[in-house]
Amino acid sequence: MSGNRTEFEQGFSELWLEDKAKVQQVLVDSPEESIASAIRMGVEQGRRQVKGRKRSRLLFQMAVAIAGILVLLTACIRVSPAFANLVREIPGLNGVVQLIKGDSTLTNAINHEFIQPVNKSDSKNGYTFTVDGIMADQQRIVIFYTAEGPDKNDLSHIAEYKITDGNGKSLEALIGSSYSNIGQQELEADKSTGIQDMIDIMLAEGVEVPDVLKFSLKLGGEWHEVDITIDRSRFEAMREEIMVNRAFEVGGQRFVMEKALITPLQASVTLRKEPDSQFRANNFIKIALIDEKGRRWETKGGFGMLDDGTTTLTFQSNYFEQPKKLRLVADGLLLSPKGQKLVVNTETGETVKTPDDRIRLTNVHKNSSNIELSIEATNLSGPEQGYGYWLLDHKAVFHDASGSEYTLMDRNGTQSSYRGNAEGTGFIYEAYYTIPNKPYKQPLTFELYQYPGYVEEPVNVVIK
Amino acid sequence: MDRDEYAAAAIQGDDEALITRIQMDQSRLYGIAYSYLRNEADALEAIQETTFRVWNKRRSLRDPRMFTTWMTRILIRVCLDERKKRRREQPFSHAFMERDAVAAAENGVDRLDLADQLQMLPSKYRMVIVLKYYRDMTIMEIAELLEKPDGTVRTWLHQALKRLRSNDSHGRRG
Repeated sequence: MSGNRTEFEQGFSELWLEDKAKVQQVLVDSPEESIASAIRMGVEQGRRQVKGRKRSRLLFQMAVAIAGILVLLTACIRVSPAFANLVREIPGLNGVVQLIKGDSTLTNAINHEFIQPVNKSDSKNGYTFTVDGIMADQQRIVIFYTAEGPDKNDLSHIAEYKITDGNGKSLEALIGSSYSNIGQQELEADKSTGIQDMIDIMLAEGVEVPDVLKFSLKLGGEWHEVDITIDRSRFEAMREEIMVNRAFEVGGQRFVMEKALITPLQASVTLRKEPDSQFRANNFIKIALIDEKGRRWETKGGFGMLDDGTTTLTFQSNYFEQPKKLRLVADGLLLSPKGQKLVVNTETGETVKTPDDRIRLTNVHKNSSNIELSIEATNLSGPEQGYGYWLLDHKAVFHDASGSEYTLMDRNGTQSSYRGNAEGTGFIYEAYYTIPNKPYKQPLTFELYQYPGYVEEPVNVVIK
Repeated sequence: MDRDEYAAAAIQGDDEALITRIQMDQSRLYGIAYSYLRNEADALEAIQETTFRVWNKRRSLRDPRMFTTWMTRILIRVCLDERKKRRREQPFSHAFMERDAVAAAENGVDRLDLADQLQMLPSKYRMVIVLKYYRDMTIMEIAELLEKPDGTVRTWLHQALKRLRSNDSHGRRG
């Protein structure tokens, strides 16, 4: 057999050399910079990946928001010596500094010793769940916890947890978990048997901070629960609420800024959008808060869809910086016409009709019960990049050519991703949707909900 | 910091260390991706996708010294998937290519060059050829990367060459 192989190889040797030389030639001039940028983009894509949760639009928006923040916060922020001392006094908080590295608001708050030690545990079957401490104010609660057990690798993929108020009622809040991708810490000791992580809870507007939080985590197949008593006296007075009531217009869309609320862990601005039948306002471009010294606090996303009436936009907090003046600024507005149709043939993979050539069906994957569609928006220009677009609405209806109506499946929410194009110069947004696998009469007609498009027009609204 | 220290930091979640560590192997990765995919844009996309998967799975790597091998395995998987994906996306052009190949083989006109022939091999055969003849790896190295016994790799290589040979001799006969 080996004799045959040699013979085969010999038959090709000349061709191999010729073809290999061609390849080598190309590799000598390989695009070093593009490769380096592809690597950076891969990491960026990891950070940006957005996993929708099934519950509601609110939560989905949250996921987008979190993915957004984690990308924005890259600055290196230092922890003060005062906090270093505090940490020594509170066991279990050592890892907190590492966990919040990158979140300027939390770092700032911790430098002001804005943290409540908890140190309560629940142990079962060799697993221990400990809540080390919390940071809480009227808008946001961050829980730092440690999970220990016989198998460390088991712990690094903690998926199941529950958070309720003292009566077991779920919170009306956006809950961000699994920061593990960014900050999860393995405990320091060599024979590390645990991990430390955090849960970030942003309460919906007007929701009261509960007196008690029940936090349960599934470890080694069993639920572990810790009741956390929240000490309101620590933060009750720490708030600045400003009634604004100023109208402004951008891209022909009218908004009223109702109020701003600034607490140690978050700044939020409540906006009301006046209805418009032609355009949908999707997002502000580079929105931030800015003070008299030019300091900026970036947005973290928000609650609700901008176009649906009242929205709360959240920002990094400037509570401890105490600016004298504050303005809301943005470079413009992302908006798209309403009522536009995307017509696709899921048998041939063709895009039959699209209001914007950049939006196309790119992939159809069928299995026995459903069909997964990938819809791509390419050539996104600068201002359009980095935002999550709901190309199709949550549980949108669509029609086939016979006029029958169907509904998008709500399978674990919507997923979307960003990736770079080959030149490393632009971003491609891709969203994935699932429809039932039915004998459709092709083509299928969807109504696009949000899609790229923008006006650049500076927004500048005085808050105080 | 050396390679392993960067890898260790990367596994702990340090993104900058991860980027630095991957860039240390970028020629190796690009060499494999390009030799296999034969297209700059696709090769870059494969690198990006590999980085993305590496980022997602980085905490599962236990030994930082295995970083290169582990990442190369992921890249190989990405390249193999890439061809599958392309086949799904471009059913027509693929069909044309196949038809052309058959025509060429039957009529002996315009024999396809080696690169085109490679393109038509089943992906695992093609990968073995690429690693052996274009990246100069030994059977043992390939076996380690593909996590297959070396006997399997030899068999695939043999099969691949046999297929290429039959295409080639058809071409010459014409």
